Amino acid sequence: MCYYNGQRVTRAEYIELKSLAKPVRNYPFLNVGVHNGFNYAPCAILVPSENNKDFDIVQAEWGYVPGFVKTRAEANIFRAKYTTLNFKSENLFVKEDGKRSMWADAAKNRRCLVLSTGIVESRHIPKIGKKGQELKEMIKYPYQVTLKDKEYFYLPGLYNEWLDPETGQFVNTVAFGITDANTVMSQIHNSKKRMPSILTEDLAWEWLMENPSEERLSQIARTQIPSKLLEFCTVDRNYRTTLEATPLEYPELAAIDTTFVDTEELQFDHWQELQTVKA
Amino acid sequence: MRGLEPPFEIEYKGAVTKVTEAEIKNRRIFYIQFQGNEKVLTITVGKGLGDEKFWTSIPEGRQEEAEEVGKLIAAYIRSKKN
Repeated sequence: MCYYNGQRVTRAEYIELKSLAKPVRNYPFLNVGVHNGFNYAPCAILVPSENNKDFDIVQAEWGYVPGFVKTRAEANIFRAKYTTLNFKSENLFVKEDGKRSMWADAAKNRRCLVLSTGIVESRHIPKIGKKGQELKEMIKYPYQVTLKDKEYFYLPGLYNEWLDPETGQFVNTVAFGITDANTVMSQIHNSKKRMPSILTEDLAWEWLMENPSEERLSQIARTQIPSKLLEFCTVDRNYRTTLEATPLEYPELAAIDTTFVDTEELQFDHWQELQTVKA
Repeated sequence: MRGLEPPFEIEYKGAVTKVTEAEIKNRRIFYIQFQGNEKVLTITVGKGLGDEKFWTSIPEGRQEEAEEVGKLIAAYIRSKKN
């Protein structure tokens, strides 16, 4: 007779329940407040289920690894060299030089959604010298950016199932799309003026479950969320070690200018289109 | 089979508790994040000797919580069907 948690079960059920313990132990990714991309830590992605009618939540390492990479060491070197945490949405199928993009195959065949509760980006402010002049050295002020009234949101992702030869296990690796920053994000992420492409629920469904044309996928990937839909606050610099974004005020830091948010115009504001259609 | 629920919240012991459903090895599991410092709980539905279903924690050891939270999750999912 087998017992699981005090319940009488068949041997087969006992083995099945026992066998869940290990993958469940490896499933802590939904409970992490902040993902640091450079740890290649697991994060939650949605992939279409086998029948293509539903989706599954699975874990993936943040940092895309292409199939030709052979070993874990090579994978880490590749990721350090090319920084595949993100893909440029402008280069989804074609690079600047007109050649086929490295993302094209995944964009056609291995699209996913990255589930996010918020992002952390740093605002760079020059240090001031003794004579009051701006120095080249920058002070970083991290901000957590979330969506108003939404606990979760979706980023367009591309994933690859990569065989780790050292463990013999398939590992999902993922990158998410980035686009030109809106006006709030260009003040926060002022070193790059880029932001994640945050999708409406309809666009997330289309990206994941439907078969849009290359042109349409490129449009979706470039989605720019309007500034007025974002919430943001400065957070403690320890977020990389604590993996939690703890709000913290920096009294010396000037406020973000939000006077324009109601008149902001963005080239790929598919959120605005949605609001217009619903209105 | 029922589609995976998007993440949702239930009230457990007077506190808002986050629940995330996922599929592992063809089984539905629920990942429960409590407020405060309580350790995350993972539960699933097991099948007893007489084919009766029961909520159980993965790994073993938190049966009482599994049953309490499991009932709340079942009630939540049923309420969405109605």
